[in-house]
Amino acid sequence: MIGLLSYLVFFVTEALVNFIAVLGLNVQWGFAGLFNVGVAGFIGIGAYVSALLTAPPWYGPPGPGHVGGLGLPVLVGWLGAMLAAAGAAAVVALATLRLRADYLAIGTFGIAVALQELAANAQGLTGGPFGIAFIPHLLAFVPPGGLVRGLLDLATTAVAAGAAWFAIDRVTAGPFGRALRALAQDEAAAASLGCEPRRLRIQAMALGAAAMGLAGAVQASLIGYIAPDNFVPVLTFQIWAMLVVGGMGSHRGALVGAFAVWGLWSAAGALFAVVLPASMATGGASLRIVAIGVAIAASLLLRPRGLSPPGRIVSRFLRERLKTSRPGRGGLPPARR
Amino acid sequence: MLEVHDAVIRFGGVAAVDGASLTAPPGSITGLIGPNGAGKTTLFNLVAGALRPLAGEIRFEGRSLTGMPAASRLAFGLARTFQIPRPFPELSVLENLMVAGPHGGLLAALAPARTRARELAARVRAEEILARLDLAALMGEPARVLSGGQRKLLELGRVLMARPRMILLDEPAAGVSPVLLETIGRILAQLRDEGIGLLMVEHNMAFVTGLCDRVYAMESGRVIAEGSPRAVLADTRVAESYLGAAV
Repeated sequence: MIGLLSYLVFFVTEALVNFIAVLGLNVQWGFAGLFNVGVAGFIGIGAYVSALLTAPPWYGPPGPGHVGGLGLPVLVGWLGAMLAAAGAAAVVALATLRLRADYLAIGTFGIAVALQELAANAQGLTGGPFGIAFIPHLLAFVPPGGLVRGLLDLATTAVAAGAAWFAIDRVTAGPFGRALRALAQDEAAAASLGCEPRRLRIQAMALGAAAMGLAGAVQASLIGYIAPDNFVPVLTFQIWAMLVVGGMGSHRGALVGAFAVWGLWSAAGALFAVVLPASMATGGASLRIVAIGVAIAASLLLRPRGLSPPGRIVSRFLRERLKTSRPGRGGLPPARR
Repeated sequence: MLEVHDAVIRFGGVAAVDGASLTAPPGSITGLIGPNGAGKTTLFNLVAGALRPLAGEIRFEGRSLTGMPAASRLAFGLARTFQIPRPFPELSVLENLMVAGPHGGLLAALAPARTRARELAARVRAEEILARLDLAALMGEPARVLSGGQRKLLELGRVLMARPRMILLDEPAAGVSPVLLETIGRILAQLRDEGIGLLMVEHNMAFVTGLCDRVYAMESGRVIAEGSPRAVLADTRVAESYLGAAV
């Protein structure tokens, strides 16, 4: 019973971590229409930066040129992770500004793969394939293992996710979010109305990546250990699946999608572990990815706008009075009394 | 006052605009006519900032616009509409207008009180404009449901948000039903009477003669006639250029 409860707590915690990253992708794709296929790279930047900032100096295998952790407070690590990921995204955006749609996708994908290779090979900095261990939890006075630690991790993750949601909603449910959506729908028209495409794209990339970096940092603190294998393209694929299934352009959809896809991913893993013999474990891992792919296809067929699509009125400044008007065929009455 | 002095632009070897000059004063509607391929739209795009002239100068209220990006011209008081309207289809009619309001970028979130005040002011203005354009009943609908003529009005409304002193209109009458055409003509005349300058590229000659105070006729990238609409249409070179294009 305790085991099941512990698992449930862990499941919700992980879904919330994913949700933070999906929020970031929602800013980039759901609002600004930026096709970022390097999500894992930005999550990885956050994870590594926060690990290096917070891990103790003796974290890894000692070796020539080894750079230790700085042992700073965890919240400093998380903040640093967000800044580093945002900065990296701004540089990527600057470099790929002229690239649209599929070219931006290729560019970001290449950067994510390069970052993964860097993590695997820059041994002195990242621990190479062994990664970085002994990354502290937030509120580390409760030792790892046990339900209390799990609940504490759930609480801290929920606070981080809630803060990310609040902050991103504040920014996107206002003039900035509207400018991004206009830009995504018609760049020339948006530019003619004073929306500066370059500046807005850089800001959207940076804001989204900050959330992804936070997700990476929170995850690193939860597990206490990171390695390059944690930041492979499958992670990008998962985050995208969550956004598509949940509903692009909707932060609530990001939450719903994170839980739905993470639930499917976990259930598929458990199912294949039971059904398939141990010799086919690798095949089972691949089948999980197939399950997510089928979920995306089914979602696009059955609920193309997602499980929880965005409402009709996105700006919180427009919501107030429009809510009072009666919905109907003739649209909304003039709001001037 | 908008002034174009000897503007030149070439595409490959073809001089699409070949030393054209014109003046569009405030509180006045200036028409730009000519057969297809005469260079009207290209000249229009030079003024709007979508293209850069190879030579010549474009000045607005005494300041040179050469090299100023399209996104900056609206804040400068110079607005444009598109020949085929380009509404943001998934934004509501009201939001379409508010895109043209101040957005301040990401950092606007750091000043929530000011952002809120600006948003509410922009909304009041947007609703006033929509009422004036007979679009108030549709303000909560996504812009994709609008008819062709309503989209033209929406575009006009969007640029009015920024209180421009000069509006460039790319074929405001094209693809508009006769009823809405009358509405558009009435609104343009009102804007002129309020002191806004209008420069329009237009093929509908009845619309041009009914509204324009002054007309420039182009052919082969050059201005071949200018004056009152009647005088320009009576000009034999203008008539020949149209006949020549028709044959």
